[in-house]
Amino acid sequence: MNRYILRRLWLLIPTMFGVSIIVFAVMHLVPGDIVDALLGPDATLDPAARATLRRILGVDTPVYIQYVHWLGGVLHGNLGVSLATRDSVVSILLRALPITMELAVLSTLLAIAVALPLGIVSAIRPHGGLSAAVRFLGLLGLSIPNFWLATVLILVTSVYFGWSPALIYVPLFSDPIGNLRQMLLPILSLSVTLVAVVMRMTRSSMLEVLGQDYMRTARAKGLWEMTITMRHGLKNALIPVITVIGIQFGYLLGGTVVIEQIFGLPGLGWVLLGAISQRDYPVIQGGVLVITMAFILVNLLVDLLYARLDPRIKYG
Amino acid sequence: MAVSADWVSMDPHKASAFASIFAWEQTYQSLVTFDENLQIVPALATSWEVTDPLNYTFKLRQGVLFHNGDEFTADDVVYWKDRLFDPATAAPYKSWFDPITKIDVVDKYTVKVQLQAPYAPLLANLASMRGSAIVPHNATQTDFTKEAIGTGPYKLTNITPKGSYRWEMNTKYWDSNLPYIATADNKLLPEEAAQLAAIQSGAAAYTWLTGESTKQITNKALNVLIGDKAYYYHLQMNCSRAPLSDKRVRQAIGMAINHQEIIDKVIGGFGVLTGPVPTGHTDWYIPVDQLPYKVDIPAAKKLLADANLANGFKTTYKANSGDVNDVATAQVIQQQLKQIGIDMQIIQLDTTLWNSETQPPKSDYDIRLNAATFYPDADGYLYNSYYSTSNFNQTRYNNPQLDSLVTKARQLTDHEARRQIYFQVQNLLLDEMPVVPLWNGKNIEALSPKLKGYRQSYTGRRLFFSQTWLES
Repeated sequence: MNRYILRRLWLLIPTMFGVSIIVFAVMHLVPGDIVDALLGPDATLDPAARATLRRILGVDTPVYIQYVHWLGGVLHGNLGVSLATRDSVVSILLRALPITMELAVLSTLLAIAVALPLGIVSAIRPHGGLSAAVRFLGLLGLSIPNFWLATVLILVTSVYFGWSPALIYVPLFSDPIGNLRQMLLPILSLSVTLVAVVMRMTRSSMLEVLGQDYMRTARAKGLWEMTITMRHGLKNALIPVITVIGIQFGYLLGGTVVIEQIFGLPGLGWVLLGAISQRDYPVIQGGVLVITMAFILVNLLVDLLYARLDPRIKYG
Repeated sequence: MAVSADWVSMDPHKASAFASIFAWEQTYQSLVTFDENLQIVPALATSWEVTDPLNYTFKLRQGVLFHNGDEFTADDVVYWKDRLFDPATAAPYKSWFDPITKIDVVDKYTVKVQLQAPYAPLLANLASMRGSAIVPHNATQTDFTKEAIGTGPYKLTNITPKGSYRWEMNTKYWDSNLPYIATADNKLLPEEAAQLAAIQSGAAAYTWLTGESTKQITNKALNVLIGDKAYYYHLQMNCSRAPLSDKRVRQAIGMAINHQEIIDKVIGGFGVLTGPVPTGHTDWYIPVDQLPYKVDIPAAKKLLADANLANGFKTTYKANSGDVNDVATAQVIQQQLKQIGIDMQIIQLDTTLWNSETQPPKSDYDIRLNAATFYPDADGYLYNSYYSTSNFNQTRYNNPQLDSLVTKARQLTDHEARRQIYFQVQNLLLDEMPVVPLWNGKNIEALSPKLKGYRQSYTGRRLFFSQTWLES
């Protein structure tokens, strides 16, 4: 088991190496560079001054040389500095990552807390009113775009409850209540889709498991209904659910961008989007690496959870 | 305070975007500034004398301290020019000060500025803060993208990219009465709904609003100021490309365009008609009732027929997807041009790509929309954009007559004579149509009822923020 984990972690290195090359190449294929972004639509420079600026910023050399420079820095633990703000990429990511992490973790937890029970109950009574409601809400949750929901939530809560988006971001650990108050609406907007996805998966997976022979056996043994559902039913139904949660969580790490922008939360997605539009290569590289790493780690965690849930699955 | 656009960089000589100026204009100052009527008034210089059109002598304010404790002296003015002209700075607005040949220190508090040719816009350009901020001459090692050292009423601190920045009262400000408000946090909130929510709930004391959000305000206690500002949108045509190189084709497009429809549909009516100098700009602009705009489809079709394009032609419009007005304008104009047989395809590009492709030196476009913010002098709108070899010549318009007129106007010191030439130039442009001026926007600012003493500026900047106070 430990060897398996080590091997998976070891595989991180070639994966991230490959991702970094692809991102670097693709970013440089996109026309325009940081000089165009810095100048903005209002101003222009003569070609000589542009060339000087490119040289100062180090974006005048061939792409592969820029890549080698960047890689050399990374191997020394230095992700470089932002071309636009001269801030170190590490400090930019350290500032942005906790916000996105919190958004992703809390909206996933919220989604699980709501979706699992609803999914289970609607599977147990597949023809009841609740089940119909769950199916309807599931469809609704899947079809409502979260940016639309976010905008509506802002407008409604600001008019009726005097709520406002965070003007000063309060970190979770310095003021948990103030932080949660700021994060509530973003988390709600993000978790709606998630609830729908997890609920539908739980329901269909549970329905499948409930029809299995071993469920009838358990019932014939005279086990308590709750034990049958939770121990024999849910535990077996969870594997596809966890897969979906894992994928959705990974997706959230980069997919919170619209919500971050709407609510003015300077998280990873927003920072990355800004960096892309400004062609701020070091920030893009650093951000993508972090997201890749997180995605791989979450997948590893999901795989390990499989083994815990199903003793037949063994790694080694 | 809510901020609607990202400031990208904070270096006052390298950053040219208006969003950057908004961030640091309480922190840096120049020799002179504007009053409410755009007249030049003292800032770091207390008085100035124009010995002859080539020599300006500035008396500097004494006892001014930079935020790092250095005293402001004549050396800092010299350093300003050195830093701005240094190729390593690559200052986008250096060309506004190109006629300066040298700055001499007369004594600790007096400088003499020498020009190579008479240059009427000099003082206004200094007041504009585009490349004119004065920084301490000892701070050669300071990275101004991260750290701000100026002489202004507020220190700029806690700069978080994509996040926020803080204005902190400069307790040693030279005008000991100012500023009134101790600190102001500025937060980037690009989303209109979020800006509206922030100001309505009282979380923010100040925000800009678009015309559309203004219509959604429900909190009647808010103080919503709607004034004029220079925010000039104009359709540019690439005069180096056929068939747009033909004046008749450009004129036909101009006749097919219904300005009022664009103003109503794109910006909800919050704009005014304008000529090549934005409406309301001191006395440089052509009054709205004298503008020649009139939709005339038959005449437009005839012009096209004269140019052997009776069946119309295909062209493209490159829109900056980062500007909501741009795409909307493109769609309205697409419909309007269809009436005279022009099939205009809209291509959307992200802001950086749009800059790279459609701005000089590449200027790879047929038709595009451009927005100009406040330029201090008519020269900024007319010389820079249309002089044939100017770096700012975005339409590649080339007309020796215009070249000689704008050059002459720049060198005159008599205001009325300059004004007459600029009217002549503007009428020439409205006839030749390398550009179709579409509208000049409104300055919509929403303030908490507690914020008192705020005054708007035509520059669109918050020039008088240090004189506002909060009532509890």
